[in-house]
Amino acid sequence: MSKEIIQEYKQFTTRKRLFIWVCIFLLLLFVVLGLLIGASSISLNNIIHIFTGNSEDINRQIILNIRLPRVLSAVLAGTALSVSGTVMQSILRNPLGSPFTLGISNAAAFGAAFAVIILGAGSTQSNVNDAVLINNPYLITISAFFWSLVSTVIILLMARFKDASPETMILTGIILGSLFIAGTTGLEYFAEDVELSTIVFWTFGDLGRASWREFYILLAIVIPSLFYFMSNRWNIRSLNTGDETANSLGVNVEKTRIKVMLVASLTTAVAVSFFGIIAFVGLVVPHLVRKMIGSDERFLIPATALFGGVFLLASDLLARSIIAPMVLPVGILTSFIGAPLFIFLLFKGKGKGIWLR
Amino acid sequence: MVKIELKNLDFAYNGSMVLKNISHHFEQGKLISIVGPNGSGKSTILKCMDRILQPKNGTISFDERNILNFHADELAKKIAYVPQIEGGTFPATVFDSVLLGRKPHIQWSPRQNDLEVTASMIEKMNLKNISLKSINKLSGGQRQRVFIARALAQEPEVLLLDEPTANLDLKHQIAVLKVLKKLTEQGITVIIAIHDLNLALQFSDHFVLLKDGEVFASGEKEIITNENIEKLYDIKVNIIKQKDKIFIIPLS
Repeated sequence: MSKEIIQEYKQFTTRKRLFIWVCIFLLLLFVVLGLLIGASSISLNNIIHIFTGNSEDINRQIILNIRLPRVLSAVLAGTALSVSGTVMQSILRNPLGSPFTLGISNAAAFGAAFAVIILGAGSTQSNVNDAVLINNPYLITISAFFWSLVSTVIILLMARFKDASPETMILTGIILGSLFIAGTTGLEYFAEDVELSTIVFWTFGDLGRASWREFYILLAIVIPSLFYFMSNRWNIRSLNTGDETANSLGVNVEKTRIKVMLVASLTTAVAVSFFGIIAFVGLVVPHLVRKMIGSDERFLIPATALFGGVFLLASDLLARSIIAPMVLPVGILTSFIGAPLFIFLLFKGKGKGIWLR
Repeated sequence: MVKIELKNLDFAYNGSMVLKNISHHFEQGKLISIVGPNGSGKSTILKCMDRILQPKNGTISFDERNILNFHADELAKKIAYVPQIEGGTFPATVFDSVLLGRKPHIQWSPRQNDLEVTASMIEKMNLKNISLKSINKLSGGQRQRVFIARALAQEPEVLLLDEPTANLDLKHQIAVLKVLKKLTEQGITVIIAIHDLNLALQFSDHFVLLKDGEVFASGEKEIITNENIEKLYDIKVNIIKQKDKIFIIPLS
């Protein structure tokens, strides 16, 4: 009898594994598409030749130094945002848990504004290729990263001194988010035209800023944190059932919640400080995947990692081609796709519990 | 044999004493009911025993070993706890929920043995027809059985349950208590916090009466007397004895 139950369960998990394989396939497909699509047309043959042979033409430059880092960074940024959103939702037991609800993105935007206006990092020039030329992009990135960590640390300190309950963290995050928006607005008020446009352009989530350097830094942060989340997946699952149950299952509740939050915030902060605010990915992707394969973190974490990569990469492809030869910042597109999608999920699931398989 | 021993246990919450100098020992293989009015410290005592709450003073030992000296996973293999209300935002299937009870035993991925224990607990709790159903689609009684199955999947020696019969209809109340009673036959110590005295009287081997955070009385059925119950709850009761059964009827 119990064999039947196990058999059924194994079939059930096979479907989840299948979903992960489909995501891997889609990821490969979109990576190839990402290399193919662009302002100058380069054929698949040509691309294969670039990777295998050593042709030295301009196409090689385009593929290896522009498209490939952009495509791979899109995958990693999508992964970073989606996985962070997923684990934040689970450990905070809140469907609205995401890097954005926790104020991290707004803090990063404030950091960018701070760098431009106070530290004098940005000035804008219009030229044919790009609307913005930022004097010191790394100063902006570092400042954005620093302030998103400040926001995380404040949330964690609140948790330390009051309690590490999900409610405390979410509420602190929302309030901090508003505070940072106020801070940004304040800075903008005193900004000159050029500075103002630099800030505004920074806040558009845009993968056009991706180069190999960004990719390697992302890789160094995203892969270890994925491993960290995977090795903590049973703890994360336990936390989702409630603090008392988790405790009884041998989880150190506060420590785990704080550590996972810290790693998730760090991962998000890197992506946001490089590419600006790419909204909704961290919120919608986890919910989409939960809807498809359920909320078992053992499968959910790898599946959102992959699907998040596919989602952002596909969005970026669309952003690059929708009004070609102009390129739309992907953040605008993810908002336009993400918001209706979230509302759709909300309505479709009405009464049925949408966070389910 | 003494399974769990509490010595001079004090617990304070926001400065007010919830448990005061509690010393008591719980025998192995018994069904023990902790009863008392709201706020008397029933849940707190259970949570202290599973190290969910840290007592201010005093010690709790399991098999004569202080529970503070257990590694978290080790303790989770010895003592399991079923809370009164469990709030999961992202509900899992019955099988996954029960499998979670194997967490202290699992290193990276569940092994065949973990799946087998899970399946057998699902059968034991009569959940096999709904093993792939999501737990938020279950009735209160079914859900309670899932949580007990999960606690059993930990293969604990002591099972602590906070109000296991709350929200259940009469049939399921009896069913759950029968299951718990059966576990004691296998040597598992079952300690429950419970409001329903008549139900407790039917199934328990031992009673601990708590009042204002202190043990007011403890012992077998004999301690359930008019005098004790009236002092405990501040109401008049009528105690009816029928054959070997005792029933309590509150009088207004």
